[in-house]
Formats: sequence, structure tokens, C-alpha cells
Amino acid sequence: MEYISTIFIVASINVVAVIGMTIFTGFTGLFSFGHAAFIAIGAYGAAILTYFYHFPFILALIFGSLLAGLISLLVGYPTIKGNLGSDYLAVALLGFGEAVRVILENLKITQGARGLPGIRICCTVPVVIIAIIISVLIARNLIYSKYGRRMVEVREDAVAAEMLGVPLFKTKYFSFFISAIFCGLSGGLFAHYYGFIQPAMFTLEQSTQILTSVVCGGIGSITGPIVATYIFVFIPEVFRFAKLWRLVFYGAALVLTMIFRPSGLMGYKEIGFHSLVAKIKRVE
Amino acid sequence: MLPLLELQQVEKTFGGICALSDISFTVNKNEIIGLIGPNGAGKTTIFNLVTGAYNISSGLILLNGKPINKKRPDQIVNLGVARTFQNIRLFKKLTVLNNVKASLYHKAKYNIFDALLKTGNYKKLEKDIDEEARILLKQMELDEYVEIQADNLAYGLQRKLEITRALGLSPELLLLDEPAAGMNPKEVINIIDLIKKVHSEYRLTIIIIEHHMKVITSLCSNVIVLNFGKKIAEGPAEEIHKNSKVIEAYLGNSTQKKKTEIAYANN
Repeated sequence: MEYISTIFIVASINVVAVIGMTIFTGFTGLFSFGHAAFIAIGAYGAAILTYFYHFPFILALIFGSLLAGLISLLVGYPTIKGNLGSDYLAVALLGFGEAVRVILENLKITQGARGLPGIRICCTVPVVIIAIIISVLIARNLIYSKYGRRMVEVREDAVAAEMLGVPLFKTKYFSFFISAIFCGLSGGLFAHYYGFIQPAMFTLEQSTQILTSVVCGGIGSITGPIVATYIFVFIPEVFRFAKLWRLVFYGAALVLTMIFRPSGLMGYKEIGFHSLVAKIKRVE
Repeated sequence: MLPLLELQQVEKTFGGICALSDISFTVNKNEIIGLIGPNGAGKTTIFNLVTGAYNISSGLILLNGKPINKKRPDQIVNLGVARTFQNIRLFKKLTVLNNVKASLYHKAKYNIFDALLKTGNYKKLEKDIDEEARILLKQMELDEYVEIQADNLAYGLQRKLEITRALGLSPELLLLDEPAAGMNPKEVINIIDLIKKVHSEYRLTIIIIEHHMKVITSLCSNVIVLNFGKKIAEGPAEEIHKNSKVIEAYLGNSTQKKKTEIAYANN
């Protein structure tokens, strides 16, 4: 039982970050290889508050996310204002991600590469469930408002969107900010689940992992990437008997989705009560 | 009467290439102006300058007497300029309804907290936009396609939807970039009627870029002819094709033609 709840919590912490990433990549159409940095900032921000200053857990989570958001505004201004093409932006943010890791390794308050051990462990199953529900609600309300629709328009055709009065920079900047907030929240949960963080945990690999979940789950969908995240955490666990080969299954799952569902599991669609009803009706 | 749009000695260079030089013309309210010229003459560049997609190198563009050449495209849109594109630029994955709604959102004055908490204000404004979009689609006789994904529409309907979407911005000035491109004669007649209807119902000022002379002659009061980035003629549609410079731009110079003939003969 504890094994399953562990897997569930680990996957759910990823889900929060993936929801942020789906707003940035899935709905705004921008790519990033550096969002692990925001997870790290959120993790360190929240952990330092509870560890050194004995903040309540929830408050620390909020401040950690806001710190990630604040840093995203600083980084986003030059990178997004510069109107870099999608892949250039991804590489610029890759650089940012690595820079953050190196900075964390050299700061005094983060205790460098040794990391922060003995963080209070507060992240339990109910906490992650509440975190996911709040994240999904915020993401959904955002996506169906004018802010979200503008992001989708930017993804579909930035030139046409601009000629319909969509402020390009503001829309992208805001999307970046929101995605960083979610990643920060995910980081805060991460720190208070493992009880120990060190800079080496927040690498390019983690950035790629959340990006993969978004792309395989489906561009322009919130539920798709969530499902994909759980699948990608569960698959290596199910195939644990196969030892190292389980990573091959992970890779195979990726390749198969790309071949059979090029726009992801749920590209441009959502899993929901309405779509299920519609599907049943169509079958009849 | 104050002209709606005025270009004064507008010049645009891309690196060392001069795309437009010394372009001046005025467009009065409620006029339909035609913009013609061979490919590469700089017609679309003028649209891109007026809408702010490019910055002009020198000169001045005035809308209602105020300079707009330093503004961003989304700001110019809010001043009442809408455009369509030569190669249709719809939001292909979105439904017809959402395409039209995209142009109405600039009217939705709610903030991020309204959106996240779904306040009454948010719901009311969203509902208004939905209704307005449906009304607009009905006026343009596109109401039966409301829920269809935009790239599944027939070509002619996509053009129509793009114009509908531009109208959603309630513009004063509408820039149509080759609205009849790739259409058969019957569709061309339809689009002419549509532009006439839109022009009178929405009290618009329109500039049309077009190669179909039929569209130009049946709609435009005045025609501007460009060639190699220069304005070579301006006048009423019926007379413009008699202008010697225009004939030269489209068909070539008679002396030049003779020279090539001689060159061929010598070979």
C-alpha cells in the first residue's frame, strides 16, 4: 500500500508541474528545456522557509511558487521580449536552467551541493490530491477565459492573432509566468515529500520529462498530459522485474505514441463527462 | 473632410533593398480603394506597414489625423484597422465560432481574477461575446457551420470567415489582401456582392489588393497602381487601364519589346 501511495505521490507532484508546462507548451505553443529550474526555485524557496524560518507548510508553498513566478518575470522579459523563435527560446531557457543549478550549488543559504537534509515531511496523499484539484481548476478556468483563448490563438497563428488585437508579448509573458508558478508549487511539494533536496535533482532530464509528458499527452489538452504523466511514472514501475530493460519500455511507449497518435494521446481534446456522453451517443 | 488614412512619403527598405519609396496617398471615409500592380510591387508591404507588422523607414502614416507608425499591431487594431491575408490565416484547429470570438475578446473587460473565480461579470461578458459572434455569423450566412473546425470549410467559405472575423473587430478601415484569389468566376461574383454588402452595412472604408480586374472595376472608386515600390498612377477604375505607364508595367515597354525582338532576330 505504501508502495502504491509513494508512486502516486511522486507522479502527482510531476502532474502539478506538467499542468504548468501544458499551459506554456500545449496552449501557447512555446517550448522550454529549463522548467526544472522553476521546480528547483520553488523547492528551495519553500524548503528554506520551513527549514530555517519555521514557516507553516502552506504559506511556504505559496511563497515558493511566487518566488518561481517572480524569477520567471525576470528571465522572461529578455527572452520572450526578444521574440526568439520557438526552438531558440527552448535553448535560451535550457541555459537558464543550467545556470540556476550552478547558482544553487554555490549559494550559502542552499548549502551548496550538499543540499538541504531533514526538511519537514508534510506532503501526503490528501495534500497532493488537493494540489492537483486546485491546479486543474485554475488551469481550466484560465484556458476557457480570454487569456487562455489568446494563448491558443498565439499558438495557432501568431501573425493573425496579432492582427486581431492580441498583445503577443503580454500573452506569452503571462503564460510563462503561470507555468513557472505551477512548477514552483510542484517543487515545494517535492521538497516536502522527499525531505531532502540538492541541486543535482533538478537537471535537464527533469525538464525533458515534463515536456515529454505534455507532448505525448497531447498539445492543447489538460487531461491528456495528466494521464500521460501517470502512465510514464507507472510503466517503469510495472516493468520493474525487467530491471534495466524497463527504460526500454519507457522509450517504446514514447515512440509508439509518436507513431500512432502524432498529436498526443488527447491532442486538442479533453477527457470529461461531456465528451464521454458524446462518444457513447455517436456509437449508438 | 478629414481623410481616414493618409500616407506621406512612406519609404520602406529591407536591408539594402528598397521595397517602397515615396508612397503618398489618402483614403477618404467610406471609399473603396483598389491597390493593384504586378507581383512584388509592394502592395502587401503597404498593408504590413499600415497594420504595424513592419516599421516604416521614413515618412508618416496618419489614421484620423494621428500618426500610427510607431504603434504595435494590436494597438493599431484597437484604433479600428482590420485586415485579411493573401494566404488565408484562420486558426485552423479552432471552430468557426471560436475564430470569430477571437476578434471579439478585445471588448471583454474582465480581469484575471474574474476569469479564475468565474464571477458574474465574467459569465455575463462571455455570454455577450458568444451571442455577438453568433449574430455576426448569422449576418454573414455562416451560421450553419458554427461548430465546424475552420480548416474543414470549403475555400470560399474560409475567405468569408476571414472577412467575418475581421468585422468582429468593428473596424473603420478594412484591408482586404486578394480576397478573390483562387476563386472561380461564380465565387468572384459572390465575393464582390459580399464586399458591397459589408461596405454599406458596416459603413466601412476598404482598401483592396486584387489581380482580378473585375473585382476592382465593380467595387473601387479609385485605383492606385504600384510598380517596383513606386506609385505609378492613380485614378478612377475605368480610366486607369488606359494609362500608358500602367500598360507598360503590366505588358512591358514597346521599345524594349522591339529591342528584344531585334536581339532574337540577330541571333
